[in-house]
Amino acid sequence: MADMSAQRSVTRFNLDLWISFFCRSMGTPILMLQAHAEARTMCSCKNFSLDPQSNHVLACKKHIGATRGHNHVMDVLAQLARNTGYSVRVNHKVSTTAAASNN
Amino acid sequence: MDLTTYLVIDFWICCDHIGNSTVNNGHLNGKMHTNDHLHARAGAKNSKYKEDYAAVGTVFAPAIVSVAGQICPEFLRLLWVLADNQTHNYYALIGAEEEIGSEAFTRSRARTFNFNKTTIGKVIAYATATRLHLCMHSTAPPSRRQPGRPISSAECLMHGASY
Repeated sequence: MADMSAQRSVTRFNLDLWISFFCRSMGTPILMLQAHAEARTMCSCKNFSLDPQSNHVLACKKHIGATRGHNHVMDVLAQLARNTGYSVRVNHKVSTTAAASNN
Repeated sequence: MDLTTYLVIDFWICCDHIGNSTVNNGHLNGKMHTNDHLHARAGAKNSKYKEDYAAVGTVFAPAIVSVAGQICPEFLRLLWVLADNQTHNYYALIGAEEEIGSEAFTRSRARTFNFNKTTIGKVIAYATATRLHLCMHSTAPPSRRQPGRPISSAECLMHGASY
């Protein structure tokens, strides 16, 4: 947790991310999602509307957040392997994804 | 003769909750998977891709994590291998190869492994928060906002709190 604090400029969470992370961890409605939930804003998948608990957002893979989050973890893992001395190539774009076969 | 071994890692962040049906707007029913679901998903990935990659001389390893921060055993093993190599490299760098295998080496490797594991956990937390954040801000703003005017995070937070 100390690594996420505001004193660590490289690894700290900004306020929006921190609110999302904290509310999600506590299981409380996410404030920024509540406005969308009341307005019945549809997700990018066009099938479901957003809910304040972020249940659908975390399960759905057809929005930009899912891709960016996935790519961020891949980049960190690749850097970890590079630091170990391996040559690493990261492929962010694949021709077929599990998302297609998971629905 | 080229003795290089290639390893393909298929990374997947999955949700721990059970549900996402068309009933109740796709909301989940509050039940969560146990640890077994990560293992099952890793097995599914293996059965789908492992043989195909093996045919071209490439090793395939699934790396499955959940949005709650759980890490599948195969990914943990991979992190352990990375920690082992990092510690070997470090001992070679400081010229203490004769101490490899000692208790100090083992403790150093365990510390490196825990550091790597915590790093991945923190990155998963960041990725999950990013996932929520970008989803909110990549969708159209709620209908009561003025069309064409972007909604700031502060506004969204303020209006969300007023409900």
